Amino acid sequence: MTYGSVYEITNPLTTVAKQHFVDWFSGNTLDPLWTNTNTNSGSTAMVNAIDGGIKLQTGTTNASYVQMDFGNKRQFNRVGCNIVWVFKAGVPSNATANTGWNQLGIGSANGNSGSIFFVTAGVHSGSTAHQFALRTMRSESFSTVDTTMANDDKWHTTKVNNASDGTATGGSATLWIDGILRATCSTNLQSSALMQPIAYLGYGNDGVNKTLDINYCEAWNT
Amino acid sequence: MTMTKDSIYEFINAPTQVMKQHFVEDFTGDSLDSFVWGKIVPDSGTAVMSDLVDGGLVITNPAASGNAICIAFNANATNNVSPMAVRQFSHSGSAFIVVEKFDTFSNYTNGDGAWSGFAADANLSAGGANTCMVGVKGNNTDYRLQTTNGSGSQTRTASGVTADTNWHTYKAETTGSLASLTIDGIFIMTTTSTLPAAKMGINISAVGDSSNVAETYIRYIEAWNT
Repeated sequence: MTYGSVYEITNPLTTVAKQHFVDWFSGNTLDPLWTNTNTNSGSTAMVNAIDGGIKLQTGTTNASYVQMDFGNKRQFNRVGCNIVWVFKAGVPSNATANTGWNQLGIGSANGNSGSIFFVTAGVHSGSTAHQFALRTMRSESFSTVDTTMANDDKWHTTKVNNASDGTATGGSATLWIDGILRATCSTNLQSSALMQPIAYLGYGNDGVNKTLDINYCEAWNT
Repeated sequence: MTMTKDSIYEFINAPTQVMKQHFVEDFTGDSLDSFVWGKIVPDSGTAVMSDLVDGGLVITNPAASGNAICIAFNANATNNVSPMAVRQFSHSGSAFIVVEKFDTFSNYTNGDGAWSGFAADANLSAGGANTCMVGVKGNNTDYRLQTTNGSGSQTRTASGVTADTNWHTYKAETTGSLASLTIDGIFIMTTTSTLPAAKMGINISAVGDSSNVAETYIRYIEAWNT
């Protein structure tokens, strides 16, 4: 069976499609539709390797971080949206707290609101070190649900769904990894009505560059 | 049960079929993809990504004369480009789907209005030769299918579908012997008048009425040769 168009893969023509976004992270450079911030020797570059996608990498100073978002053009709906990332998290385990982390998801602002996949090198704000987790963020208040799935520095697919009403506990966020439901969370849900894709890689002061490889992102309103 | 295939290609083409030109634009991110699109904004007005849920790109024509705006392939110019440099879609077999929300029809000019689809030119008023587009204009209460032939003769065929300010999915197809229009999955009509006679690119244009602001939102366009 084939569809008449790409549109009809996800919508019949009788349904007016909502906002949808796909990036394959291939080609010469990052598509300028992303707002990309690299601080203190952080970098973002296409990878010249099979299935390489794009690599985000921090420097090795404490304030180094790398992030990508839509420059606060927020077209995704807190009431119902999904985001899929294919990624590889380069955050080696570390016994020391706050030694760097990856976050991939969707939210109003990078770092302090939204629903994200989260993995940290050392313990960070209640997260178990080196485990894949779901984190919800509401104005710098966090809830974290660990999946008991340890980071293996291999490629995985994460999907995050946000369905909430603006109150801290009105609705839920849900995390799948490699197609399996791993975590749900119903606290500290985002207040803002609007969301954008967010990817963030933060360095902790342990002398090790943190990396985040991504070769696919897809987001859509439901 | 979710169906998966090895590729997006195989969702829209049999593996034995060599796919023709295909294009998809989601109109999201922090700015319009300048590697694909150009803008012609000779006077006032804007065409920017909206900061709204499902907002896509918003084209704003202010309440002033000389407020036409055009988005087209690589049309970084100060006035119309005839023809546009990249025209990959066939007059004898092509289709497009656009998800768009027009403003109140009377907020556009009577003469030009707002149009999206295939055109040979990057043109502020959907003019020039060889077009197949869908749109509205200030003195018509329904959506129209515009076709223009190789000598520039133009027909805007009434759909009978009342123009409103809601989001709709429009599909138009040209075969060489007719052009057709489908709105929200419902087949509306065909025309054989002034059909395009040469290859086309994609053109999105809007001309606002001089006394009313017109806002046109577009969040998806897909085009392909059949």
